Amino acid sequence: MPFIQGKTLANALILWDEKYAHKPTFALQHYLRELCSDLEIAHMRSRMLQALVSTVSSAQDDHRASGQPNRQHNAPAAAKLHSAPILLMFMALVEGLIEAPGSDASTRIRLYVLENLAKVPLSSTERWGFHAWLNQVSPLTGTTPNIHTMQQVINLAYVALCEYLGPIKADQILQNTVSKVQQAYPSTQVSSLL
Amino acid sequence: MRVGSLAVSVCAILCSAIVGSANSAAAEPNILEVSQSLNSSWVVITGVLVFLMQAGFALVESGMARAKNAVNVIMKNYMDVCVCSVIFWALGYGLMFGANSSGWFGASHFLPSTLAGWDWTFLFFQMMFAATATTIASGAMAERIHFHAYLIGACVIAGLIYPVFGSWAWGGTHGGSGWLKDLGFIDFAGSTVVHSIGGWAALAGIIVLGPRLGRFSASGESRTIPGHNLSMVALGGFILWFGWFGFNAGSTLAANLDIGKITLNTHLAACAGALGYMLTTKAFKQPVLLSGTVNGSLGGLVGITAGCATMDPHYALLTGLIAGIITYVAPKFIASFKIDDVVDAVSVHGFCGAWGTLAAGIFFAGDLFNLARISIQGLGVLVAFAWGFGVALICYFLIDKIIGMRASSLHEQRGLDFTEHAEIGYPEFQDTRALNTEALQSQR
Repeated sequence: MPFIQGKTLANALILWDEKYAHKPTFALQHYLRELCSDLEIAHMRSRMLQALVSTVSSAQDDHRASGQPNRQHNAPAAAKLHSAPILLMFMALVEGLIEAPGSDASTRIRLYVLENLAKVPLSSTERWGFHAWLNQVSPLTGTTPNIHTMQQVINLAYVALCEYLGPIKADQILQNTVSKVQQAYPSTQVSSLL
Repeated sequence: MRVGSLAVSVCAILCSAIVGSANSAAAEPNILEVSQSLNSSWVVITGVLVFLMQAGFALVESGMARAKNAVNVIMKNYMDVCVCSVIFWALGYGLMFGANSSGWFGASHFLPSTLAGWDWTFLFFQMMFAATATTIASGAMAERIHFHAYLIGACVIAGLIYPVFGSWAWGGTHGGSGWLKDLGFIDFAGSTVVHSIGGWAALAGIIVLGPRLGRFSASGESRTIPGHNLSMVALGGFILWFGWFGFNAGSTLAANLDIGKITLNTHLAACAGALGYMLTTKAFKQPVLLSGTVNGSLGGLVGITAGCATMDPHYALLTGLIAGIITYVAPKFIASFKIDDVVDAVSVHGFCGAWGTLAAGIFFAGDLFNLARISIQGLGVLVAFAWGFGVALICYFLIDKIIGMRASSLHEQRGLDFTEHAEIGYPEFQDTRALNTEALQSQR
């Protein structure tokens, strides 16, 4: 079952050509956000992005992967097996901050964090890992960012919340998300990430 | 028994005082000395009232900020009176009131240590004015400026911007005269000299700083960020109002019969300012906010400061009323440029100060609507803006480039109480779930 087809697909290509093809960075993500928002299929954005990335990155003759683009459902489990508690807590906190507003606002916040990740000093491996994680392609494994980096990424999510929802709402979401994550990880202080 | 012996003792003291007084009749001070003593006492007391206004500013500004920045706001108010007083004594007083042969700045009485008796009184009173002009900027720039950067800016206002403009409008106490003063510019207690200058400096500061995180949405929509304690705002408003009686009535520099009318005008304008704000909100079918009402009365006070000695009470009322309307309209005008003024200091002090200075010319008792006088007042208003805003803009721009003014977004997230002072305003009541207590402790 394709995500979109027929005339809708043609309109989707026009949207890409007119508004996004010439943009330097994160055009694909913005394009998918707007497309999914217009077609009221916001819940599919992540899967569409993964399918696109998977298609582009797979070997030319490897079409088997195209039918199973979504590895994310296994991601938390995989991450739990391989990551330190502080990293899991960090991921839960950032995801919590991004997902708290819901629907289109969450996607905007996710894109804001992605776009501004360039301001955070990261090695190329870390940067790739963060991009893949924030694009919901794969969990943040194989890299252990230091606490300062984690604080900066959380702050990016906070700034995005301020920009899109206002500072009062941002503070409320931050407090509530910290509470939820703290309940999930009672052995470590979540506030050490702030 | 004990009460009886106390009564005897009091009588003995009183009798000896009377006898002593009679014996020293030959050395009795003359009427001039008595008058000077009274004047000095009056001006020192009113100077103390002006000092109390710092507490009012601290309460208003802190109450209008979020809880996580409450300590920082108060610290700025507390320290700028300390820093500014020293700077004004060392440099500002000489620039403002020293021998002013050119008309542009004073050039004597720096670091004063040997002054005549009255001059000490005058220096103390003017020092409080300098602190008032300086502290106006603190509220506007709240919640996002580094503490040390703010204090450096405060030094420039107290040591250069305020006294130089003051020398033009009020200068010449120790010889010469200011050029604006010579033109006939009227600013009795400082609508422009103190308040507009402070307001324009604040405007420059908030332009360089930029708005707080999320204050304006991407589409330009203005978002309200409510203060954490409206009771503090109201108490601060009352204290400022109280101190303003000293600010205006003390500017007579003499305990004479003028102070009654000046005080009455001051009070009427404050009342009318709050009323003006309230009526405007009603006209626009908006709720009457406490913070807006307090600012309305403060706008009325700022407005009447220039003409409180030269206006009849009904014009004082009108001046305050219009100032109250300005405190409703001007913040919206400023916000339309995406300029974030936390306490609406630019509107209350800058715009209402400019209006009050014009009003002092328009409603001059016995010579109403004199265009020549109004023109001079207008010139003073424009020159104050050009000087106060221009120099402050350069100053804040340089501070920003050299040491950085804007707190980082992480600091804004944590709150400046934590990042600048390592303490929080309400440890028992504040929501500390998102507070990194380890980092807080490690700063101490």
